[in-house]
Amino acid sequence: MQYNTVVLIKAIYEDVKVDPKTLEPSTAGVKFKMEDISRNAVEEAVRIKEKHGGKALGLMFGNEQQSLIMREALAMGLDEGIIIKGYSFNDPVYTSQVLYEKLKGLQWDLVIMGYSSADSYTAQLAPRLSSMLNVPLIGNAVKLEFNEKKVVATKSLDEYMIKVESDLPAVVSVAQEINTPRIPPLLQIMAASKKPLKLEEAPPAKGTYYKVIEHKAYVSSRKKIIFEDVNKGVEEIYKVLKSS
Amino acid sequence: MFPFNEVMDFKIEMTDEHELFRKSIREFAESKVRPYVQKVEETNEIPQSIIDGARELGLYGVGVPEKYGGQGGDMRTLAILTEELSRVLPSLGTMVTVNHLFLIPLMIFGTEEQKLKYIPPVAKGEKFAAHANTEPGAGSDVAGIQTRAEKNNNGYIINGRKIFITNSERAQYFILSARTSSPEQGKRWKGITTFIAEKGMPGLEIGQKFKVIGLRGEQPNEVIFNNLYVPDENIVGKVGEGFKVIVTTYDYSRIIIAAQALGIAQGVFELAFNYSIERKAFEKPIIGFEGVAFRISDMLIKLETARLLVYWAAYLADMQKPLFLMASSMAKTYATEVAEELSDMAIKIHGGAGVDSATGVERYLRDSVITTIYEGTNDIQKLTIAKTLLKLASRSVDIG
Ligand SMILES: Cc1cc2nc3c(=O)[nH]c(=O)nc-3n(C[C@H](O)[C@H](O)[C@H](O)COP(=O)(O)OP(=O)(O)OC[C@H]3O[C@@H](n4cnc5c(N)ncnc54)[C@H](O)[C@@H]3O)c2cc1C
Repeated sequence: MQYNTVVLIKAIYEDVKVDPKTLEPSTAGVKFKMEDISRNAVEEAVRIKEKHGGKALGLMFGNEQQSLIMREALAMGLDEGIIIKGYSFNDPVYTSQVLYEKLKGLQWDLVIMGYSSADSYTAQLAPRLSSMLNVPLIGNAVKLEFNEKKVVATKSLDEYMIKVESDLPAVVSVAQEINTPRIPPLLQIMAASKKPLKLEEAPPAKGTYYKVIEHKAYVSSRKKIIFEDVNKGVEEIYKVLKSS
Repeated sequence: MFPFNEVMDFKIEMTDEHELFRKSIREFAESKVRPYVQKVEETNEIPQSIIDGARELGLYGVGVPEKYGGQGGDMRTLAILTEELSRVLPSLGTMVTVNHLFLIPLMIFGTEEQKLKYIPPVAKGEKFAAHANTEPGAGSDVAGIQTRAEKNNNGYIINGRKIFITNSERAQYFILSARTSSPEQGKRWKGITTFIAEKGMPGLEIGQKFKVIGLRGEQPNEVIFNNLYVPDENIVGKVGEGFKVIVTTYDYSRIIIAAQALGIAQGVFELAFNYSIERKAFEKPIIGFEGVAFRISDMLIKLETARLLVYWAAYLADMQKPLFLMASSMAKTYATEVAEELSDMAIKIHGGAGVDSATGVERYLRDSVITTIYEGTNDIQKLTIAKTLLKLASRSVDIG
């Protein structure tokens, strides 16, 4: 039995620097990269395809400048890619609407994505999409297997593993431990430039659902107090802690 | 604009595929190679896991057409491969690309049968190859080789000794040069023939290993031919015209060496810059002193100039512009000198730590020296440049 998959791929900034004065992240001139856990999702979709057959399609809500990231996913082994243009900032409500509109018109057995993304960690996309698409959700899988028309997933909880089974179609989010993504060789990179990559327009947002109030780097400012008299130690520390 | 024709001669074009490929190699080098660099220095051996990893990623087939079992890719792709590997471990750059000293002559001068027989196993990383030209009495002076090949039935009997032959312990296939007739008066280059030999043929022996100062993990050996019989079908190119086979090989391969030097320069630049912002002296990072800041800026200027020359030469080669001959000599000379100079500057920026082998800076200097020597010393490159200039100016002056 074959399984068609759609992998959701996010593009994030490669290396965000913090402005030492404002403490705000500075992204001027910073390149984009494939979001880390999206990369595991791509790898898993390619492995499913290699093992069982079927098509693997990459879907990104992003922008045209990020085409190279989709090409990289194609070089890893996806069959085709679609970039929906118009991403401007992290808004899980709008992102899930855009992706839902596209996904409902596509043929798939499985939507695979990272359980969360390495830039915002909202972890909202998988549950939102599963409820909008009205299909089961399996979150945080570390292993995926198939049993005819069912997917069997192993999830890792802190102390133990649980195995769950779900009908297809389903939405699956994966954890980084699920696999080690491959490095694409030259031959696949060359082949990827001939695979279809479509750019589409996003439907307009119905509103803003997510507002960033402040975005600052975490600072730990030390008080740099040295207590020199060991005998008075506890008393002195107590005083300082009390007053701060 | 002499010696160039038009501004288009200065163009360098890179593609998305080049960038994706660069990322792949960067990831391979950082994750699979970097952790073993110190071990390679200590043991003088490249671990099997790296040799195998390179095979799995198809690195031995880069620059070889798919038709012959390769991965495709052009000279720029090969330059990227060599630069990225050498940025982390220059001897790995040599190990992975030295096969091209065998593949290039076969691709250009080989028969279809030779190509189909010998290229795919090398491109797939199943077999390694070596190039045996240099001799105790002749390096730069290729026409001065003493190895002799005597006609015998349907082949040749070869006797002689080659030195500094990279990869010869690993190699299954060799391309070698030998004299099939005496040099002609005024045409010393005539009478040399190139042959393919295979390890296991009686009379092909691997001799002593040379202990050269750099490129640890990839030290060359002596190769001895003791009544080695090679059949006629193993002749590469025409009998008596092997000189052309050898020097044409270097026309292309010196771009690979230039890229290796560029990788070294990039590696030491990053080390030096990082150290200059981390290391404090007199209560501030040392880059806060003009003497260090200027050194860092000079390093970057030279690094990027070298980069332009290397990719320019590679692009001209890909476009099959005759100018690439001169450009590749310019790139090889400049990039290798910059690699040496920047390694030295990086050591100075590191102070005492720079000469401690555990810091991993000084090894680049030892490696860079070799890049200025092999595949045509920089003096020889300058001769090529001057000779080409004279030709372009339609002047005849005897140089070299
Ligand atoms: C690590 C290493 C690996 C090598 N791998 C290989 C290999 O795989 N296969 C192979 O065949 N060879 C290999 N070589 C040999 C290398 O290519 C030669 O060492 C190089 O070509 C120089 O030749 P030579 O050592 O005989 O020096 P020489 O030719 O003797 O040169 C000595 C000096 O004289 C200068 N000189 C010579 N002629 C002229 C001239 N006409 N004008 C101005 N200056 C001149 C040179 O620049 C140099 O400074 C390797 C060498 C090393 C160090």
